[in-house]
Amino acid sequence: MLSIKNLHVRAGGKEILKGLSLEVKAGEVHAIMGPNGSGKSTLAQVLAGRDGYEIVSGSVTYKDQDLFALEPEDRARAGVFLAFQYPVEIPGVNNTYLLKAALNAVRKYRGQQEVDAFEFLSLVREKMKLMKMDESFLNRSVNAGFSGGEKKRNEILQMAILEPALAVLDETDSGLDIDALQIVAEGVNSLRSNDRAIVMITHYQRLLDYIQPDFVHVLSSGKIIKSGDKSLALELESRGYDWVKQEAQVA
Amino acid sequence: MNAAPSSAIKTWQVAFDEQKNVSANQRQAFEAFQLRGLPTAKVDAWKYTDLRRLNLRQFRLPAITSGITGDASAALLKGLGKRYLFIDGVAQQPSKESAAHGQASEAFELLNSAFSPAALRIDLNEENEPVYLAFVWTAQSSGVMHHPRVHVTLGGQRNATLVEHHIGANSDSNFSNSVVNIQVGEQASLKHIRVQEDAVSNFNVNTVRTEVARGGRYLSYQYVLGGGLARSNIHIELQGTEAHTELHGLVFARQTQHLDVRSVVNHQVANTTSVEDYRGIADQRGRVVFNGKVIVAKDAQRIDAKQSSRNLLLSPTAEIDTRPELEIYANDVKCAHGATVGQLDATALFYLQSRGIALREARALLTHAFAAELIERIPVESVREHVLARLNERMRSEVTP
Repeated sequence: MLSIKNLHVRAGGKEILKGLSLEVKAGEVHAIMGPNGSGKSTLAQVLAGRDGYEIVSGSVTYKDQDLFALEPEDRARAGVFLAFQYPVEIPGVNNTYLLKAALNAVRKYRGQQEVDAFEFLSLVREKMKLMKMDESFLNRSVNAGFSGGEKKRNEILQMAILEPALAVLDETDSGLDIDALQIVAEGVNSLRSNDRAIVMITHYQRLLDYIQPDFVHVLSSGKIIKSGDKSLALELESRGYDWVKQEAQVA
Repeated sequence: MNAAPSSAIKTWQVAFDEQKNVSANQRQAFEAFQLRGLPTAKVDAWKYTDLRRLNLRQFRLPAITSGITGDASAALLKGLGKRYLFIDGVAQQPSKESAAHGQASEAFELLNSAFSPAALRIDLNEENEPVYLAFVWTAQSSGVMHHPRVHVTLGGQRNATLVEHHIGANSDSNFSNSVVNIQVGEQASLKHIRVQEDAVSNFNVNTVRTEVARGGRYLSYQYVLGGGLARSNIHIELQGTEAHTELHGLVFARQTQHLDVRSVVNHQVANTTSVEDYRGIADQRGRVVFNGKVIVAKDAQRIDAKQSSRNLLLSPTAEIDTRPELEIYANDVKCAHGATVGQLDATALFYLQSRGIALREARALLTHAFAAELIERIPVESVREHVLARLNERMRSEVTP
């Protein structure tokens, strides 16, 4: 599904990703962990197509196509979804409007018909129930005045409606209390499937108690220095990151 | 003030001499106008708006002075109350009252007086429905000027709504120079909605002068979308204690439109309040000018005046000039003002793109959101829907290349 090979990325004159490689297959859930400043969010932004990043070398292939050849909106339509670490407030743009426009853009790309109003509303209501969101969300502006938890739930709601093939969750657990974390995790778990891959970027192990990953990677100074299964996350939780870094240096 | 070049004055002279039965007042106004000419960029209030384009034109007066002319019904707003129409510069209702002169001081008001033999009086006291005042240019009209003068009165304790509409998308190179004088009585409340959407080849200079008595409220909602070279002057005198005014407005220029709004709120007495909230958008080669002035007279204490001018620049060839101005002669006042010119939020654009929305569409969506917030304040639903529809048309033409 996603193949990142020896990716080097610069931003603001500084090299942030320094030879990152990662293989993600359909049906898998990967967790990328790492200390602050290791390049986690840069990876997420680059995959979604944010400008301001210079791809120095390396490649990212998504479903056999060069991901960097696609505009951000085409990546989204082709099934790449980024759940933002800081979802953007957009006053004056209605939540429902965005959801519907996004869904129709994806459907059009897939050669499907636009949803009719009834079909759309019943879909949204069903997913909102899953995310324990109040109907009033539909009439509000995108993320405007939402609490941190509401914003994160709104991200997962969008994901549930768009049904991406590849979901990248950027610190979706940050700023959530335990109840909100459980709701978000439940939403993500409901989207696990054999034809969908999920990449979770997180600072803490806590999220992984609720969403069990198949693989855990440690990102440090712009590349993945260790990979393992979920037991690696627990080890990181108890021992910190330094031992992995030292191990990597020795190797 | 600098006199205009004599060639420019001559073009107005030709039109003036065409008039029949000119009153002494008209002649006096024209002489005063001739002495000063149209303001140049050296005059502070006209710093950003160059009138040479207007001054070099030769406009004709309407061929007839009264009676029903072309059919403009398709363009008119429906569902409002009593109607007062000007079609191709011709009043569709008799206005016998001679125009009050003498108080005019600005060049365009003098010009209006010189070409305006009669004023239309609108008495809003018994009007429960929004009164509709429309200035229409039909496709038959080209190179015509008109100088309508309207007196609007609202007596004490009354509430009323006036909808002023400037239309004529299919007309060409006409010049409208309207003067609307408004009296708001004690404890009265007037909502004045002004929508300007005439052709981009037209010239539109308009002056609204409002006097608000004790406890009165004058709420202005202005939407400037049309006109090629346009200037709106709003001059509000808060004359009685506890008088209040609100100015809400949206100015959206594109193609080569030059749209200028200048407001002056004069707090003459203590305990008066004003709120001004304007937004400007300039796209393509469009230009928006905003100048909002607040004056607080000597001894006019306990004044609260807020002013905000937020602007969106959508193209590198567009321009926005915004300038708040305070002139305060009292010491116990609360005046807050802020002016910003910015571009669409890059993070918001990316967020929308990351949800599958094309960049062009995302830009239209954010621009729409910026404008719609002001439009949603229009207190008459049918007018609100109309202006929103106009905005949607504009945004659609942005999305479809």
